[in-house]
Amino acid sequence: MDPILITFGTFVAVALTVMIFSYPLYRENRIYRFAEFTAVAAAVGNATVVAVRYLYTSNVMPAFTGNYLLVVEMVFTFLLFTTFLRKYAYLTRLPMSFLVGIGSGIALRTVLETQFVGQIWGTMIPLISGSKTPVDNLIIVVSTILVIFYFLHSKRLSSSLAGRTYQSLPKLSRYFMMVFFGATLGSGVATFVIWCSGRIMFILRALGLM
Amino acid sequence: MMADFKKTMLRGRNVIAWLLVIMMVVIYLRPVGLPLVVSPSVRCWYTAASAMSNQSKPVLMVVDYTVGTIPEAQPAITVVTKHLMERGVAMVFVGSGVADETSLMQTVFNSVGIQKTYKYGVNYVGIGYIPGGEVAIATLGLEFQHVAATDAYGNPTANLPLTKDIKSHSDFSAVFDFDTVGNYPLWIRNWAVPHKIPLYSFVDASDMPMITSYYSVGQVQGYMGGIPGAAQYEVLSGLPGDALKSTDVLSITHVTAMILVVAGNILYFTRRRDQKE
Repeated sequence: MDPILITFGTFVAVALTVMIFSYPLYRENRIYRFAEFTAVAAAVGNATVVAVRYLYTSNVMPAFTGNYLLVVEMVFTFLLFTTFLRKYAYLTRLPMSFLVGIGSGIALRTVLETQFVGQIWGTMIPLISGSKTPVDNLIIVVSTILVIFYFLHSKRLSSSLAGRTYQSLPKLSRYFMMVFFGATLGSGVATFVIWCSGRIMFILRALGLM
Repeated sequence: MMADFKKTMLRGRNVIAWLLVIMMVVIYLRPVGLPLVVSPSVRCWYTAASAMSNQSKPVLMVVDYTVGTIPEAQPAITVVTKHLMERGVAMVFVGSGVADETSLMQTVFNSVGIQKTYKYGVNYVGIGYIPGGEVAIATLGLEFQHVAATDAYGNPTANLPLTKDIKSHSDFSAVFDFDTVGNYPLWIRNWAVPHKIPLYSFVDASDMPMITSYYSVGQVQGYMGGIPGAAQYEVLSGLPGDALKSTDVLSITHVTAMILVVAGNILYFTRRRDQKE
Protein backbone atom coordinates (compact mmCIF):
# COMPACT_ATOMS: atom_id res chain seq x y z
CA MET A 1 0.00 0.00 0.00
CA ASP A 2 1.08 3.57 -0.69
CA PRO A 3 2.96 4.99 2.37
CA ILE A 4 0.98 8.25 2.09
CA LEU A 5 -2.26 6.29 2.37
CA ILE A 6 -0.94 4.38 5.41
CA THR A 7 0.06 7.67 7.11
CA PHE A 8 -3.33 9.18 6.29
CA GLY A 9 -5.12 6.06 7.62
CA THR A 10 -3.10 6.16 10.85
CA PHE A 11 -3.88 9.87 11.28
CA VAL A 12 -7.62 9.23 10.82
CA ALA A 13 -7.51 6.28 13.24
CA VAL A 14 -5.70 8.33 15.91
CA ALA A 15 -8.15 11.22 15.47
CA LEU A 16 -11.19 8.91 15.75
CA THR A 17 -9.71 7.24 18.85
CA VAL A 18 -9.20 10.59 20.56
CA MET A 19 -12.77 11.58 19.60
CA ILE A 20 -14.13 8.39 21.21
CA PHE A 21 -11.97 8.94 24.31
CA SER A 22 -13.53 12.37 24.73
CA TYR A 23 -16.63 10.65 26.17
CA PRO A 24 -15.08 9.03 29.28
CA LEU A 25 -12.49 11.79 29.72
CA TYR A 26 -14.90 14.69 29.35
CA ARG A 27 -18.57 13.95 28.61
CA GLU A 28 -20.86 13.06 25.70
CA ASN A 29 -20.33 15.57 22.91
CA ARG A 30 -20.76 16.05 19.17
CA ILE A 31 -17.23 14.98 18.32
CA TYR A 32 -17.77 11.69 20.16
CA ARG A 33 -21.09 11.12 18.39
CA PHE A 34 -19.53 11.82 15.00
CA ALA A 35 -16.84 9.16 15.64
CA GLU A 36 -19.44 6.72 16.97
CA PHE A 37 -21.69 7.09 13.91
CA THR A 38 -18.69 6.84 11.58
CA ALA A 39 -17.68 3.53 13.18
CA VAL A 40 -21.20 2.11 12.91
CA ALA A 41 -21.62 3.30 9.31
CA ALA A 42 -18.25 1.87 8.26
CA ALA A 43 -19.10 -1.50 9.85
CA VAL A 44 -22.51 -1.66 8.13
CA GLY A 45 -21.02 -0.62 4.77
CA ASN A 46 -18.28 -3.24 5.03
CA ALA A 47 -20.74 -5.97 6.08
CA THR A 48 -23.03 -5.18 3.15
CA VAL A 49 -20.21 -5.34 0.60
CA VAL A 50 -18.83 -8.60 1.99
CA ALA A 51 -22.27 -10.27 2.14
CA VAL A 52 -23.21 -9.18 -1.40
CA ARG A 53 -19.83 -10.33 -2.69
CA TYR A 54 -20.28 -13.72 -0.98
CA LEU A 55 -23.74 -14.12 -2.50
CA TYR A 56 -22.36 -13.23 -5.93
CA THR A 57 -19.47 -15.72 -5.80
CA SER A 58 -21.25 -18.58 -4.04
CA ASN A 59 -24.77 -18.33 -5.52
CA VAL A 60 -25.24 -15.97 -8.45
CA MET A 61 -22.15 -16.96 -10.46
CA PRO A 62 -22.58 -20.75 -10.03
CA ALA A 63 -26.29 -20.42 -10.86
CA PHE A 64 -25.46 -18.83 -14.22
CA THR A 65 -22.81 -21.43 -14.95
CA GLY A 66 -24.98 -24.53 -14.73
CA ASN A 67 -25.94 -25.07 -11.07
CA TYR A 68 -29.62 -24.22 -11.61
CA LEU A 69 -30.69 -25.47 -8.17
CA LEU A 70 -29.19 -22.28 -6.75
CA VAL A 71 -31.87 -20.28 -8.61
CA VAL A 72 -34.37 -21.70 -6.08
CA GLU A 73 -32.19 -20.31 -3.26
CA MET A 74 -32.13 -16.92 -4.93
CA VAL A 75 -35.91 -16.89 -5.39
CA PHE A 76 -36.31 -17.76 -1.70
CA THR A 77 -33.92 -14.95 -0.79
CA PHE A 78 -35.98 -12.43 -2.74
CA LEU A 79 -39.18 -13.75 -1.15
CA LEU A 80 -37.83 -12.51 2.19
CA PHE A 81 -38.23 -8.96 0.88
CA THR A 82 -41.95 -9.41 0.10
CA THR A 83 -42.53 -8.47 3.73
CA PHE A 84 -42.38 -4.85 2.53
CA LEU A 85 -45.34 -5.42 0.16
CA ARG A 86 -48.53 -5.84 2.13
CA LYS A 87 -50.29 -7.81 -0.65
CA TYR A 88 -47.53 -10.43 -0.94
CA ALA A 89 -46.15 -10.35 2.61
CA TYR A 90 -47.43 -13.87 3.30
CA LEU A 91 -44.82 -15.22 0.88
CA THR A 92 -42.11 -14.35 3.45
CA ARG A 93 -43.30 -17.33 5.47
CA LEU A 94 -41.88 -19.77 2.90
CA PRO A 95 -38.18 -18.86 3.30
CA MET A 96 -38.69 -18.06 6.99
CA SER A 97 -40.08 -21.54 7.64
CA PHE A 98 -36.99 -23.02 5.99
CA LEU A 99 -34.64 -20.79 7.97
CA VAL A 100 -36.35 -21.48 11.31
CA GLY A 101 -36.74 -25.18 10.55
CA ILE A 102 -33.11 -25.74 9.56
CA GLY A 103 -31.82 -23.56 12.41
CA SER A 104 -33.92 -25.33 15.03
CA GLY A 105 -33.11 -28.76 13.60
CA ILE A 106 -29.37 -28.19 13.74
CA ALA A 107 -29.48 -26.53 17.15
CA LEU A 108 -31.73 -29.18 18.75
CA ARG A 109 -29.55 -32.00 17.47
CA THR A 110 -26.43 -30.55 19.06
CA VAL A 111 -27.53 -28.34 21.98
CA LEU A 112 -29.01 -31.24 23.94
CA GLU A 113 -25.83 -33.25 23.65
CA THR A 114 -23.30 -30.49 24.40
CA GLN A 115 -24.98 -27.92 26.59
CA PHE A 116 -27.44 -30.10 28.46
CA VAL A 117 -26.28 -33.71 28.81
CA GLY A 118 -22.58 -32.78 28.54
CA GLN A 119 -22.80 -30.18 31.28
CA ILE A 120 -24.78 -32.43 33.63
CA TRP A 121 -22.20 -35.14 33.02
CA GLY A 122 -19.48 -32.63 33.92
CA THR A 123 -20.88 -32.14 37.41
CA MET A 124 -20.96 -35.89 38.15
CA ILE A 125 -17.37 -36.08 39.29
CA PRO A 126 -15.55 -38.07 41.97
CA LEU A 127 -14.78 -35.89 44.98
CA ILE A 128 -11.29 -37.18 45.64
CA SER A 129 -9.69 -38.11 42.30
CA GLY A 130 -9.65 -36.32 38.95
CA SER A 131 -7.68 -33.44 37.48
CA LYS A 132 -8.91 -30.94 40.07
CA THR A 133 -8.28 -30.78 43.80
CA PRO A 134 -10.89 -32.25 46.21
CA VAL A 135 -11.79 -28.68 47.26
CA ASP A 136 -12.53 -27.71 43.64
CA ASN A 137 -14.63 -30.85 43.17
CA LEU A 138 -16.53 -30.18 46.38
CA ILE A 139 -17.27 -26.59 45.35
CA ILE A 140 -18.57 -27.76 41.93
CA VAL A 141 -20.86 -30.39 43.46
CA VAL A 142 -22.15 -28.24 46.34
CA SER A 143 -22.70 -25.11 44.21
CA THR A 144 -24.53 -27.12 41.51
CA ILE A 145 -26.90 -28.65 44.04
CA LEU A 146 -27.49 -25.36 45.86
CA VAL A 147 -28.14 -23.32 42.71
CA ILE A 148 -30.62 -25.95 41.44
CA PHE A 149 -32.21 -25.83 44.88
CA TYR A 150 -32.61 -22.03 44.59
CA PHE A 151 -34.82 -22.41 41.53
CA LEU A 152 -37.06 -25.07 43.09
CA HIS A 153 -39.26 -22.36 44.66
CA SER A 154 -39.65 -24.57 47.73
CA LYS A 155 -42.39 -24.07 50.26
CA ARG A 156 -41.93 -22.61 53.75
CA LEU A 157 -41.47 -25.34 56.31
CA SER A 158 -41.96 -25.51 60.05
CA SER A 159 -39.80 -23.53 62.48
CA SER A 160 -37.90 -26.65 63.51
CA LEU A 161 -34.10 -26.78 63.08
CA ALA A 162 -34.48 -28.82 59.90
CA GLY A 163 -37.02 -26.34 58.57
CA ARG A 164 -34.85 -23.33 59.39
CA THR A 165 -31.81 -24.97 57.74
CA TYR A 166 -33.91 -25.75 54.67
CA GLN A 167 -35.01 -22.13 54.45
CA SER A 168 -31.48 -20.75 54.77
CA LEU A 169 -30.18 -22.77 51.80
CA PRO A 170 -31.49 -20.39 49.09
CA LYS A 171 -29.45 -17.61 50.72
CA LEU A 172 -26.33 -19.73 50.42
CA SER A 173 -27.24 -20.45 46.77
CA ARG A 174 -27.50 -16.73 46.17
CA TYR A 175 -23.92 -16.26 47.44
CA PHE A 176 -22.63 -18.83 44.95
CA MET A 177 -24.48 -17.09 42.12
CA MET A 178 -23.14 -13.72 43.24
CA VAL A 179 -19.59 -15.08 43.14
CA PHE A 180 -20.20 -16.20 39.54
CA PHE A 181 -21.76 -12.88 38.54
CA GLY A 182 -18.89 -11.05 40.23
CA ALA A 183 -16.33 -13.13 38.33
CA THR A 184 -18.15 -12.43 35.06
CA LEU A 185 -18.33 -8.70 35.78
CA GLY A 186 -14.66 -8.60 36.78
CA SER A 187 -13.71 -10.38 33.55
CA GLY A 188 -15.87 -7.91 31.62
CA VAL A 189 -13.98 -5.02 33.18
CA ALA A 190 -10.73 -6.69 32.11
CA THR A 191 -12.04 -6.81 28.53
CA PHE A 192 -12.90 -3.10 28.53
CA VAL A 193 -9.53 -2.17 30.04
CA ILE A 194 -7.75 -4.10 27.29
CA TRP A 195 -9.82 -2.50 24.52
CA CYS A 196 -8.94 0.89 25.98
CA SER A 197 -5.25 0.08 26.52
CA GLY A 198 -5.03 -1.33 22.97
CA ARG A 199 -6.03 2.03 21.55
CA ILE A 200 -3.52 3.80 23.82
CA MET A 201 -0.82 1.42 22.57
CA PHE A 202 -1.87 2.27 19.01
CA ILE A 203 -1.61 6.04 19.66
CA LEU A 204 1.79 5.64 21.34
CA ARG A 205 3.03 3.62 18.35
CA ALA A 206 1.63 6.17 15.90
CA LEU A 207 3.52 8.89 17.79
CA GLY A 208 6.69 6.80 17.68
CA LEU A 209 6.86 6.44 21.47
CA MET A 210 6.75 2.61 21.47
CA MET B 1 -29.01 19.18 45.54
CA MET B 2 -29.53 16.27 43.12
CA ALA B 3 -27.94 18.24 40.28
CA ASP B 4 -24.90 18.94 42.45
CA PHE B 5 -24.63 15.26 43.33
CA LYS B 6 -24.80 14.24 39.63
CA LYS B 7 -22.16 16.85 38.75
CA THR B 8 -19.84 15.55 41.47
CA MET B 9 -20.34 11.96 40.31
CA LEU B 10 -19.61 12.91 36.69
CA ARG B 11 -16.47 14.76 37.71
CA GLY B 12 -15.39 11.75 39.80
CA ARG B 13 -15.87 9.47 36.79
CA ASN B 14 -13.76 11.78 34.63
CA VAL B 15 -10.99 11.87 37.24
CA ILE B 16 -10.91 8.05 37.38
CA ALA B 17 -10.83 7.83 33.57
CA TRP B 18 -7.93 10.31 33.39
CA LEU B 19 -6.10 8.45 36.15
CA LEU B 20 -6.43 5.11 34.32
CA VAL B 21 -5.36 6.56 30.96
CA ILE B 22 -2.29 8.25 32.48
CA MET B 23 -1.39 5.01 34.28
CA MET B 24 -1.69 3.02 31.05
CA VAL B 25 0.58 5.43 29.16
CA VAL B 26 3.19 5.35 31.93
CA ILE B 27 3.16 1.53 32.21
CA TYR B 28 3.45 1.08 28.43
CA LEU B 29 6.43 3.44 28.36
CA ARG B 30 8.01 1.96 31.52
CA PRO B 31 6.98 -1.74 31.77
CA VAL B 32 7.18 -3.33 35.23
CA GLY B 33 7.48 -7.00 34.15
CA LEU B 34 5.17 -8.64 36.68
CA PRO B 35 5.50 -12.45 36.93
CA LEU B 36 3.11 -14.65 34.93
CA VAL B 37 1.79 -18.12 35.83
CA VAL B 38 0.91 -20.40 32.89
CA SER B 39 -2.48 -22.08 33.25
CA PRO B 40 -3.07 -25.75 32.25
CA SER B 41 -5.62 -24.76 29.58
CA VAL B 42 -3.02 -22.64 27.73
CA ARG B 43 -0.37 -25.33 28.18
CA CYS B 44 -2.74 -27.88 26.56
CA TRP B 45 -3.11 -25.64 23.50
CA TYR B 46 0.64 -25.01 23.27
CA THR B 47 1.40 -28.74 23.62
CA ALA B 48 -1.08 -29.61 20.85
CA ALA B 49 0.37 -26.98 18.50
CA SER B 50 3.92 -28.10 19.32
CA ALA B 51 3.06 -31.68 18.36
CA MET B 52 2.07 -30.60 14.84
CA SER B 53 4.41 -30.52 11.87
CA ASN B 54 4.38 -29.93 8.12
CA GLN B 55 3.11 -33.52 7.77
CA SER B 56 -0.01 -32.77 9.83
CA LYS B 57 -3.40 -32.08 8.32
CA PRO B 58 -4.16 -28.35 8.06
CA VAL B 59 -5.50 -26.43 11.04
CA LEU B 60 -8.76 -24.52 10.62
CA MET B 61 -8.08 -21.04 12.01
CA VAL B 62 -11.35 -19.35 12.88
CA VAL B 63 -11.08 -15.55 12.87
CA ASP B 64 -14.22 -14.71 14.85
CA TYR B 65 -13.53 -11.28 16.25
CA THR B 66 -14.34 -7.72 15.31
CA VAL B 67 -12.31 -4.60 14.62
CA GLY B 68 -13.24 -3.29 18.07
CA THR B 69 -11.75 -6.32 19.81
CA ILE B 70 -8.42 -6.34 17.94
CA PRO B 71 -6.47 -5.29 21.08
CA GLU B 72 -7.57 -8.47 22.82
CA ALA B 73 -7.77 -11.08 20.06
CA GLN B 74 -5.01 -10.10 17.67
CA PRO B 75 -2.08 -10.82 20.03
CA ALA B 76 -3.47 -14.34 20.53
CA ILE B 77 -3.97 -15.21 16.85
CA THR B 78 -0.61 -13.62 16.00
CA VAL B 79 1.40 -15.70 18.45
CA VAL B 80 -0.40 -18.96 17.55
CA THR B 81 0.01 -18.32 13.80
CA LYS B 82 3.71 -17.58 14.29
CA HIS B 83 4.09 -20.76 16.34
CA LEU B 84 2.38 -22.85 13.65
CA MET B 85 4.54 -21.20 10.98
CA GLU B 86 7.64 -22.24 12.92
CA ARG B 87 6.33 -25.82 12.84
CA GLY B 88 5.44 -25.62 9.14
CA VAL B 89 1.77 -26.39 9.74
CA ALA B 90 -0.69 -25.58 6.94
CA MET B 91 -3.58 -23.29 7.86
CA VAL B 92 -7.00 -22.46 6.46
CA PHE B 93 -8.44 -19.17 7.75
CA VAL B 94 -12.18 -18.72 7.95
CA GLY B 95 -14.62 -16.39 9.73
CA SER B 96 -18.17 -17.12 10.82
CA GLY B 97 -19.19 -14.19 12.97
CA VAL B 98 -19.09 -10.76 11.34
CA ALA B 99 -18.05 -9.36 7.95
CA ASP B 100 -14.98 -7.59 9.38
CA GLU B 101 -13.27 -10.95 9.56
CA THR B 102 -12.10 -11.00 5.94
CA SER B 103 -10.09 -7.81 6.40
CA LEU B 104 -8.94 -8.90 9.87
CA MET B 105 -7.61 -12.12 8.35
CA GLN B 106 -5.55 -10.01 5.96
CA THR B 107 -4.29 -7.96 8.92
CA VAL B 108 -3.07 -11.16 10.58
CA PHE B 109 -1.27 -12.21 7.38
CA ASN B 110 0.49 -8.84 7.27
CA SER B 111 1.37 -8.71 10.98
CA VAL B 112 3.02 -12.16 11.02
CA GLY B 113 4.61 -11.72 7.58
CA ILE B 114 3.17 -15.00 6.39
CA GLN B 115 4.05 -14.28 2.74
CA LYS B 116 7.77 -14.41 3.56
CA THR B 117 7.85 -18.11 4.45
CA TYR B 118 4.50 -19.52 3.36
CA LYS B 119 3.11 -19.80 -0.16
CA TYR B 120 -0.53 -18.85 -0.64
CA GLY B 121 -2.68 -21.79 -1.73
CA VAL B 122 -0.01 -24.31 -0.72
CA ASN B 123 0.68 -23.57 2.98
CA TYR B 124 -2.21 -21.27 3.80
CA VAL B 125 -5.54 -20.21 2.39
CA GLY B 126 -7.87 -17.40 3.46
CA ILE B 127 -11.51 -18.29 2.95
CA GLY B 128 -12.70 -15.18 4.77
CA TYR B 129 -16.11 -14.54 6.24
CA ILE B 130 -18.89 -17.02 5.53
CA PRO B 131 -22.40 -15.79 6.32
CA GLY B 132 -25.02 -18.18 7.64
CA GLY B 133 -24.19 -18.58 11.33
CA GLU B 134 -24.70 -22.03 12.79
CA VAL B 135 -26.06 -23.51 9.55
CA ALA B 136 -22.92 -22.43 7.68
CA ILE B 137 -20.63 -23.76 10.44
CA ALA B 138 -22.41 -27.13 10.48
CA THR B 139 -22.40 -27.44 6.69
CA LEU B 140 -18.76 -26.36 6.42
CA GLY B 141 -17.84 -29.50 8.34
CA LEU B 142 -19.87 -31.71 6.01
CA GLU B 143 -19.50 -30.07 2.60
CA PHE B 144 -16.46 -27.86 2.75
CA GLN B 145 -16.16 -27.33 -1.02
CA HIS B 146 -19.78 -26.25 -1.28
CA VAL B 147 -19.79 -23.72 1.58
CA ALA B 148 -16.28 -22.44 0.87
CA ALA B 149 -16.50 -22.56 -2.92
CA THR B 150 -14.09 -19.65 -3.32
CA ASP B 151 -11.50 -18.04 -1.10
CA ALA B 152 -11.56 -14.38 -0.02
CA TYR B 153 -9.85 -13.37 -3.27
CA GLY B 154 -12.28 -15.16 -5.59
CA ASN B 155 -10.10 -18.22 -6.33
CA PRO B 156 -12.05 -21.51 -6.45
CA THR B 157 -10.95 -23.63 -3.46
CA ALA B 158 -11.14 -26.70 -5.69
CA ASN B 159 -8.18 -25.30 -7.67
CA LEU B 160 -5.91 -24.48 -4.70
CA PRO B 161 -3.42 -27.25 -3.80
CA LEU B 162 -4.13 -27.00 -0.05
CA THR B 163 -7.92 -27.03 -0.21
CA LYS B 164 -8.63 -29.12 -3.31
CA ASP B 165 -8.68 -32.36 -1.29
CA ILE B 166 -10.53 -30.97 1.73
CA LYS B 167 -14.00 -32.45 1.75
CA SER B 168 -15.10 -32.31 5.38
CA HIS B 169 -14.13 -31.87 9.05
CA SER B 170 -12.00 -35.03 8.98
CA ASP B 171 -9.50 -33.31 6.68
CA PHE B 172 -8.47 -30.92 9.49
CA SER B 173 -6.23 -31.81 12.41
CA ALA B 174 -7.82 -29.26 14.76
CA VAL B 175 -9.87 -26.09 14.98
CA PHE B 176 -8.17 -23.05 16.53
CA ASP B 177 -10.94 -20.59 17.24
CA PHE B 178 -10.27 -16.93 18.08
CA ASP B 179 -13.58 -15.66 19.27
CA THR B 180 -14.92 -12.49 20.79
CA VAL B 181 -18.38 -12.61 19.19
CA GLY B 182 -19.64 -15.57 21.25
CA ASN B 183 -19.56 -18.13 18.43
CA TYR B 184 -17.42 -20.75 20.18
CA PRO B 185 -20.47 -22.78 21.39
CA LEU B 186 -21.44 -23.19 17.71
CA TRP B 187 -18.03 -24.76 16.93
CA ILE B 188 -18.34 -26.96 20.01
CA ARG B 189 -21.82 -28.08 18.99
CA ASN B 190 -21.12 -28.67 15.32
CA TRP B 191 -17.46 -29.70 15.13
CA ALA B 192 -15.91 -30.65 18.47
CA VAL B 193 -18.61 -32.83 20.01
CA PRO B 194 -20.30 -34.60 17.06
CA HIS B 195 -17.14 -35.11 14.97
CA LYS B 196 -14.54 -35.31 17.75
CA ILE B 197 -12.36 -32.60 16.16
CA PRO B 198 -10.02 -31.11 18.79
CA LEU B 199 -11.14 -27.54 19.44
CA TYR B 200 -8.95 -24.90 21.07
CA SER B 201 -10.64 -21.60 21.69
CA PHE B 202 -9.52 -18.09 22.51
CA VAL B 203 -12.25 -16.05 24.17
CA ASP B 204 -12.32 -12.53 25.55
CA ALA B 205 -11.87 -12.20 29.29
CA SER B 206 -15.59 -11.71 29.91
CA ASP B 207 -16.33 -15.15 28.42
CA MET B 208 -13.76 -16.99 30.55
CA PRO B 209 -16.17 -18.10 33.29
CA MET B 210 -18.40 -19.62 30.59
CA ILE B 211 -15.80 -21.50 28.55
CA THR B 212 -14.35 -23.07 31.70
CA SER B 213 -17.43 -25.28 31.92
CA TYR B 214 -16.84 -26.61 28.38
CA TYR B 215 -13.16 -27.16 29.10
CA SER B 216 -13.79 -29.07 32.32
CA VAL B 217 -15.99 -31.63 30.52
CA GLY B 218 -13.53 -32.02 27.63
CA GLN B 219 -15.63 -30.38 24.93
CA VAL B 220 -12.87 -27.81 24.46
CA GLN B 221 -9.34 -29.23 24.61
CA GLY B 222 -7.70 -25.97 25.63
CA TYR B 223 -8.46 -22.29 25.86
CA MET B 224 -6.93 -18.86 26.27
CA GLY B 225 -8.79 -16.14 28.10
CA GLY B 226 -8.12 -12.60 26.99
CA ILE B 227 -4.75 -10.92 27.09
CA PRO B 228 -3.43 -12.96 30.07
CA GLY B 229 -4.02 -16.19 28.09
CA ALA B 230 -2.26 -14.81 25.02
CA ALA B 231 0.64 -13.58 27.19
CA GLN B 232 1.03 -17.07 28.69
CA TYR B 233 1.21 -18.54 25.18
CA GLU B 234 3.83 -15.94 24.26
CA VAL B 235 5.91 -17.01 27.27
CA LEU B 236 5.58 -20.72 26.42
CA SER B 237 6.41 -20.28 22.74
CA GLY B 238 9.21 -17.80 23.35
CA LEU B 239 7.57 -15.33 20.98
CA PRO B 240 6.98 -12.17 23.03
CA GLY B 241 4.43 -9.77 21.59
CA ASP B 242 1.73 -7.26 22.41
CA ALA B 243 0.02 -9.48 25.00
CA LEU B 244 3.04 -9.49 27.30
CA LYS B 245 3.27 -5.70 26.97
CA SER B 246 -0.38 -5.38 28.03
CA THR B 247 -0.38 -7.72 31.04
CA ASP B 248 1.29 -5.15 33.31
CA VAL B 249 -1.34 -2.58 32.29
CA LEU B 250 -4.13 -5.05 32.99
CA SER B 251 -2.78 -6.10 36.41
CA ILE B 252 -2.03 -2.60 37.67
CA THR B 253 -5.28 -1.04 36.44
CA HIS B 254 -7.18 -3.90 38.11
CA VAL B 255 -5.43 -3.31 41.41
CA THR B 256 -6.24 0.40 41.06
CA ALA B 257 -9.89 -0.41 40.33
CA MET B 258 -10.05 -2.65 43.41
CA ILE B 259 -8.52 0.07 45.59
CA LEU B 260 -11.07 2.57 44.23
CA VAL B 261 -13.95 0.15 44.92
CA VAL B 262 -12.77 -0.39 48.51
CA ALA B 263 -12.16 3.36 49.01
CA GLY B 264 -15.59 4.16 47.57
CA ASN B 265 -17.28 1.71 49.92
CA ILE B 266 -15.41 3.05 52.96
CA LEU B 267 -16.42 6.61 52.01
CA TYR B 268 -20.03 5.56 51.46
CA PHE B 269 -20.39 3.76 54.78
CA THR B 270 -18.55 6.51 56.68
CA ARG B 271 -20.88 9.14 55.22
CA ARG B 272 -23.93 7.02 56.04
CA ARG B 273 -22.75 6.56 59.63
CA ASP B 274 -22.13 10.31 59.98
CA GLN B 275 -25.61 11.09 58.63
CA LYS B 276 -27.18 8.69 61.15
CA GLU B 277 -25.33 10.36 64.01
